[in-house]
Amino acid sequence: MGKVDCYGGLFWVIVSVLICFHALQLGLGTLSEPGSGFVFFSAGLLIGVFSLLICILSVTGKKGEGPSPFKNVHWGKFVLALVYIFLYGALIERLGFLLSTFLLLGLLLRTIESKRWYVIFLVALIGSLGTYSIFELWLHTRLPRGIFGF
Amino acid sequence: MGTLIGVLPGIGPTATIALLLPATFKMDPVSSIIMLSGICYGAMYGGSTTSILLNIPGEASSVVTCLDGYQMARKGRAGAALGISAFGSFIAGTFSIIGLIFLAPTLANFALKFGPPENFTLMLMGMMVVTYLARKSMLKALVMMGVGIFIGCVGLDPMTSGPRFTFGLSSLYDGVGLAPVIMGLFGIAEVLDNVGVLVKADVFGGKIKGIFPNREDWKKSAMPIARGTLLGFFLGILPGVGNIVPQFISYVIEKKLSRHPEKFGTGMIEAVASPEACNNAAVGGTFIPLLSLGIPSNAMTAMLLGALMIYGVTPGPLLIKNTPDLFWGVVASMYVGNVLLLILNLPLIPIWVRLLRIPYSYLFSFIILFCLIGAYSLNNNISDVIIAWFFGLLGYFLKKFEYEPAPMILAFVLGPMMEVALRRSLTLSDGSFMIFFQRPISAVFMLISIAVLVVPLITRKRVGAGLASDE
Repeated sequence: MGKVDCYGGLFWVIVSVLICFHALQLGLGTLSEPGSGFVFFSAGLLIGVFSLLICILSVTGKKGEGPSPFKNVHWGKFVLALVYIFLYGALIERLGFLLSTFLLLGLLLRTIESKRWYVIFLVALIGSLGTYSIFELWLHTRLPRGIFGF
Repeated sequence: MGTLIGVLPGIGPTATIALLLPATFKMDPVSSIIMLSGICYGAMYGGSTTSILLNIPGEASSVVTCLDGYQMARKGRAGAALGISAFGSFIAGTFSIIGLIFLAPTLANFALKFGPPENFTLMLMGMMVVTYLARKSMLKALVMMGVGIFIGCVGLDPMTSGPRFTFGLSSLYDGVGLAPVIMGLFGIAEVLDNVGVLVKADVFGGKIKGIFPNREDWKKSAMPIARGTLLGFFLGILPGVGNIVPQFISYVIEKKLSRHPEKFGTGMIEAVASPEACNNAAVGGTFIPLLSLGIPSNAMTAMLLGALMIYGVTPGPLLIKNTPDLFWGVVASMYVGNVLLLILNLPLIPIWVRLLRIPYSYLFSFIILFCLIGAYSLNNNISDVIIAWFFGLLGYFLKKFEYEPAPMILAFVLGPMMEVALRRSLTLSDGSFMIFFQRPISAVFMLISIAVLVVPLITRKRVGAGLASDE
């Protein structure tokens, strides 16, 4: 276990403290009548104890760090993909399924692996119409129409 | 569809079941479960295709097949590898169905004696076994278990109906949806992990011939298939084991029993036959605790359990008695599916190979899209899409920091049931934890759970640890 594990462990220790704090506010009840917060407090304790162990082992363990897990990450593409996915969720009901799907596919294809614009346009168009056919027409899933009516 | 999902890397049967769940709302529960179950065992067949032809496991349960399967393909024996994989899977699948027919009702009858303490300790044991068998860190798996319990219990208190950790959001009153979590953790996270990383898959380009194994191949593979079948089936029954770890164990066993262990990794047919038989037998085995006890063994069966609950079917010992059409429908469909998969899969291999040549950028964009549509269409609620997005981000960082999601998913599904069982048990015993040790069945489960937690600390050895890095 290395430094990376220590950071991960610390993150979960903080999460466990927050969970336990909120669980206490919900009320632990008594052992014969456990309250709403009982299981949450127990889960928080479990997370806290074991993540603390992870931190301790990573600090006291053998030295020698492996390669960083984020070594080859293309942060620009990663963040962009995240933003596009979030915006899709936030805007699908306003823009409608077809338009938002077209935009999502186009932007993702452009981001993941740069393709020519006409290829992106074609694939996004076929993809959005195709998925609409599959989900709305074949599987009878109700997809949002948006302010433009489609 | 299951085979297709198994073939395509990046999306597994668990995310696919989550994706197709809304589409099954218009079907009756029996048909829905049959279709979703078909995806489970179909994926086992498909996963081996990419392992052998691409050296990339299409499914987590086909990881071991890469080791020798791809080497066989490089030696011009892709057909034999694919053939023995298909036949071995068929034999193992058939055996596991027979086992399911006899064992599931027997176990269900036995489980009728269970009360809240037995239910709690059984679920605890299942979760502890999953953490014990974690391929990387057991401590991290235990943390994931805690996180899963926490997330699973978010929503209204089952006893008092008070909101817990809902942060004022009415969409969380019913809890966090299983499908968006699965799609985020297994679908979106997988794609995010590959964004920007250029993966040029080296698809085996040679002609695939001779898909029927010859006499020599059968001679070498017969006993490994038998061993893999038995191992996979009986390990798959154990709550929490699933179908991934047994294949690693079967590979190690075959290597130890082989007269030429040094040749493992260079294209040994036994090293393909046994793990493939093992993972198919394990799928049948995992259905036993699911259908007879209502305890899922892995993320895939956890998803099926979630589906059963959505359809209004109460999982547990009374499922077989109350809905025999569902149980026997699944069993019959498994056998029919097994036969069809054997007949269809081999001729369809050229189509799968063509599919694998589709650039990853297209595949991944559509995987994300399907995950988001699947999340939205559950309740026509954008909060489910945001949940899928959040768990996609979480899943990405869990991957990077080497936290396995399987313990979290299991705990997520079992957590609410465990809470109810625990609170009822403590109410029965007036607050005494000794109730878990005073009842014999519960005591056995509890002692196993404690042993699973304590033994690795003392011996510093685990079955799961290092299996992935053994080769």
